[in-house]
Amino acid sequence: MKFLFKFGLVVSVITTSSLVFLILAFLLYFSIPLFDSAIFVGFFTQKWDVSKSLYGLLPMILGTIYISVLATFFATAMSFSLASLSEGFLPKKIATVVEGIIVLLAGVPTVLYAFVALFLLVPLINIYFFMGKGLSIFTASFVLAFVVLPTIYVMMLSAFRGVPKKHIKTSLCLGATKKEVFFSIMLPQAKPALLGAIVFGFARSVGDTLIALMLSGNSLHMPNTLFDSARTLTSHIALINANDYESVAFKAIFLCALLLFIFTFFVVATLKYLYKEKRYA
Amino acid sequence: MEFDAIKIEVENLTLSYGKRVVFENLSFDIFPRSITALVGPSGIGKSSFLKILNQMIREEEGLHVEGKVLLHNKGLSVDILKLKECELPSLRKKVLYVAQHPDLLPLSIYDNVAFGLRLQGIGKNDINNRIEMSLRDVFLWDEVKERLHVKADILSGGQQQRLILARALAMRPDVLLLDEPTASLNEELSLKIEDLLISLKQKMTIVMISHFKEQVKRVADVIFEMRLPS
Ligand SMILES: Nc1ncnc2c1ncn2[C@@H]1O[C@H](COP(=O)(O)OP(=O)(O)O)[C@@H](O)[C@H]1O
Ligand SMILES: [Mg+2]
Repeated sequence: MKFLFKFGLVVSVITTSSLVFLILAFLLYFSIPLFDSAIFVGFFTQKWDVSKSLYGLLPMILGTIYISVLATFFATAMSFSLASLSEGFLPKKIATVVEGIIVLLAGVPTVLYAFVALFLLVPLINIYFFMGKGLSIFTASFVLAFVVLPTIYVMMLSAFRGVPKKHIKTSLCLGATKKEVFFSIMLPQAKPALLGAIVFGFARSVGDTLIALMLSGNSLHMPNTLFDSARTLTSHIALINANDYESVAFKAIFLCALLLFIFTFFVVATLKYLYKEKRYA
Repeated sequence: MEFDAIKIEVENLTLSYGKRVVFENLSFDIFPRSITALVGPSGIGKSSFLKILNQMIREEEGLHVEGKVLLHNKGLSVDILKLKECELPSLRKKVLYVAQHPDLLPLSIYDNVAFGLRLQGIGKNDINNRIEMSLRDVFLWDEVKERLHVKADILSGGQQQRLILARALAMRPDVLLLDEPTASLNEELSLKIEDLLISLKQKMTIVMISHFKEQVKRVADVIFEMRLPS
């Protein structure tokens, strides 16, 4: 039994870690040939037009950053308020209901969010607010926020729950109000884990493809305002139409993936750093 | 400094957890400017009784308190069992509980004492004065004055017990509830703390739990013994 457990452990460690390295090796193998040619510089320009042999990825890089940052911002604001309310202020029964509803949201398939938004939110924005700007960075990030909200919320809940009950009791015993307990005990102690939750949510919004693909309009132009249409790197990978494996357009897919990989790597590194901070604090 | 002389009247107090009755129909008075000692075997409900007096009992789950606990203060009487949730913080600042096992906050020595003072809205200068005074009262000042800003959990058990007593004294409560305050102190320090309590009773109502007969005889004005029903 013990042997089986150890064996399983070793196997899963080896598979997961080699998977990561294999993906990295695969991406590098295909994108390294691009590094030493003049084409490489071309990737960091503003125009993508295959018919004119222009392969600029900057609009997609910017689109990715705008959409994921904005979505994380919306999601953080909502999940922080909700998690603070349910752990620090609301009566237990109501908090349980709130938690149940949000966890339920996590089970809704992403494509449903996109569909609902397509039929309700997009026309609303088109008609009442900004003519013809329904498919934009704003719409995509707003809807994406609801997709990552449960993740951040649940992680924030466990951040607050990680604060030892005895410290909360001690401060109540000294006459602290709920508000004082929250701001002087719970918030400072939960802070590293709360930041971790935000970073994790950010990683999720960078990685999501479907919402941006369906709601951001996928324009190839440099986005200037939040109500411009834009394309993310993930959508770009899905949308590149290249039949020739030797073409630059096809190779660009691997560069997009590599950029995403590097992006995610830095996010995870930050996450690790934040948790380490906490351990040695 | 004026302290409010608070008299506590306990009427038919019953405490139960589910079906199990811990104690039943307690009725007695606790007088201001005196030390009331609570004695009795372990598990009889002494700590729970103190937690009823500051209503921290409401934070425990599955228990039921019945009866009346009246606080008489300047002609006003309130039944603390009927206080609303939002009135509890001000009750707990006046009726302070000092736990048996040091319940330090994960803060520095200084901030552990300052925490309660900040809750009371006391200014920075006053905070510094009161911290020094109360740490001197419990004979801890000389041991910690050079390292007020290190984490409090590096202190020894006896030092921690005196620190939480200092934290309570700094807040100048009207009623002080002590749960075996000298349990982890050596004899010499215990005697010093006993003298401190005797001097404090001029300014506050003190209720203490103690397992030491000698100590009870020395400091208590009233002894209340909780017994198993025979
Ligand atoms: N939160 C709780 N839930 C259930 N039973 C409890 C709880 N707290 C205390 N008790 C029980 O109540 C009784 C009295 O406990 P306590 O007040 O700590 O006694 P004492 O301080 O006299 O030793 C004990 O039998 C204890 O097991
Ligand atoms: Mg006890």
